[in-house]
Amino acid sequence: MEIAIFFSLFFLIVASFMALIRVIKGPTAPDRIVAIDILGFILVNVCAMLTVITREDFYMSVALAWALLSFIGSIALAKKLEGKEFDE
Amino acid sequence: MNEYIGIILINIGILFNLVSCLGLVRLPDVYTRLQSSTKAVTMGSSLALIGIAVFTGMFSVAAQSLLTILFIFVSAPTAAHAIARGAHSSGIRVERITAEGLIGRTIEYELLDVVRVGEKFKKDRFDHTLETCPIFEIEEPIDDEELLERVSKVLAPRLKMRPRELERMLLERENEATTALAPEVAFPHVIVEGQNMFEMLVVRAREGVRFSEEQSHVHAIFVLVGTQDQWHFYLRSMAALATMVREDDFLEQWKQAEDEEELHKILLERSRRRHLTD
Repeated sequence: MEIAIFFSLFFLIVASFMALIRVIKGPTAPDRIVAIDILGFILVNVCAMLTVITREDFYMSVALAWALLSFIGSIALAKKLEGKEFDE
Repeated sequence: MNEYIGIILINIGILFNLVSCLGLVRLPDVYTRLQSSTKAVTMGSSLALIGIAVFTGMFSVAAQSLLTILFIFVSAPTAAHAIARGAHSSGIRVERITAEGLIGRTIEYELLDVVRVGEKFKKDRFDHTLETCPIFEIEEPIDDEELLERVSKVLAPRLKMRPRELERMLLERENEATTALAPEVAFPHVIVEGQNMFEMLVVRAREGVRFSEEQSHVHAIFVLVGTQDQWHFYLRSMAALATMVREDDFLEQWKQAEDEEELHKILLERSRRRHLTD
């Protein structure tokens, strides 16, 4: 059981590093925004995995809040790409 | 038992996340990256969250993970759509899919290639002429006599003539009436002795060629030389060229083209457009 949990965490770390590679390499702004969006979802999964490890349910609340916030961030960045303000 | 089912679901979901991040690194442009990453991450995260709810068996965790799944299902496609829209309106093009590094990098050029391959059986003699005709670049400002001299040197051996003779004939034709027919475009042309010969030569003059005092400088010159028996094709080529250069954005594209290859491509693209509209 510990090995399975270890592997899932390991996969998450590898995935987040891949997303980070895309954030660093770019080459364009939309590429970076996509990567940050995905990184947000990966971190939601990490928070959820912390629930599994610690058996504390408040990490799920963190995950939920994180999903909400990263969505707003992505939408704002996408609007910026389009050259509009957030309330347009 | 619940724990085993849960951990299997978690691992499958996280493997999906891993694969989608692999796509994020490996795929060529922003649209394909979006397509690989957002879809797989949505489903993978949902599966992992279901697995976590099964694993812990706690009501609060299950409720919150269901809420998170619901939210991810709404937000991830919306965010992906917004990012794709933003990328498109900020001018990011779709990368070509097959044979990168052939001609152009974007998918417009690829589609043009596909159209051309598909219509190969329709390719007529004029297209062939356009494809094989030599294209010249002239950087410095010159006048029409010097231009015709240079052109004759190239064309004469192909027509089995002496350069002087061809130059004299072209000049005579030029003096009868100017061949600068449209603004900034000229068609020096002449009928020569012999049989079954037709040659076309295209010149792009960056600084322009002065054909006559009152007219503007000429930037695109199409030299046509043919024998009497090619008269029909000769006229048809001239008509086709005239249609091509009359389009509004032709000269702009012509002046901005980087190299010979691009000039060839402009000519072929234009002639293809003529075919499609016929």
